[in-house]
Amino acid sequence: MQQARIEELKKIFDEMQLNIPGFLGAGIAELQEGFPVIGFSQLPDFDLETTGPVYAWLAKSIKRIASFIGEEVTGNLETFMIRMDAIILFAWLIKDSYIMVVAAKTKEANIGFTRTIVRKFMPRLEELLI
Amino acid sequence: MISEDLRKNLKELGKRIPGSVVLVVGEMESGFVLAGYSLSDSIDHEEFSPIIREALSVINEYRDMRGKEVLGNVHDVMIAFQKLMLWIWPLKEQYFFGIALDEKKTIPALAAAIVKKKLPDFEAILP
Repeated sequence: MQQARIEELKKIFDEMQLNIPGFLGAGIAELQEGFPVIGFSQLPDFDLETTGPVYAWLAKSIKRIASFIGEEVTGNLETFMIRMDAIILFAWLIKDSYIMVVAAKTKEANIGFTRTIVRKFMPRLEELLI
Repeated sequence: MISEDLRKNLKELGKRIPGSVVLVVGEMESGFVLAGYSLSDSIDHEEFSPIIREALSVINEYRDMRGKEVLGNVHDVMIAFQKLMLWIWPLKEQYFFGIALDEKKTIPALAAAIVKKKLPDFEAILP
């Protein structure tokens, strides 16, 4: 990916950090192979860049679950959230080719607010991730 | 009797939550439906429960990969599709509560708040 695009993605993550309560980190990986595009994390044991394949696997597994119900009923997968003791993990599919993961502290995060903030960045992300 | 109590509670809950489509309580290990209530012709609660169990098993597998000591217990899982939103809560480690919501008719935060208040009632009924 071009350096200019990477810089733009970094700027978006910086803006997310400022606006998302409890923000811990974010990463983007290619959905097919889980190849990391970019990652940023405040937690040393939560390296979002190197765990791309895990998130890609997670997203693909959840997409498969939708096929049991039937996509005509569910529509396409847009996002998922897993709330655990310490962190909340949010994930979005971008253009069905990339997965973006945002991690936030469970005690500080606000699900609705985080979804709204990320939705605001989505057009820019779609433009940058070709 | 347990099944009837659960179903009564699911029905009551479904009527209170805007955009409710299907509500189920099931057994985690087997995906067996203990009770379900559907407000839709297109999704049957019997079909819905194993899907939720599958989603939880994927999440648990993920947690094992990343390390339980880092992530801790799963509180709830939300999966949003264009038309449908699935929200799942584990109950007493052996069971789960799952709800499918119509994305266009629901208010997610309100739905989650109503469900969370009701979870202790389900846990009290379950063995």
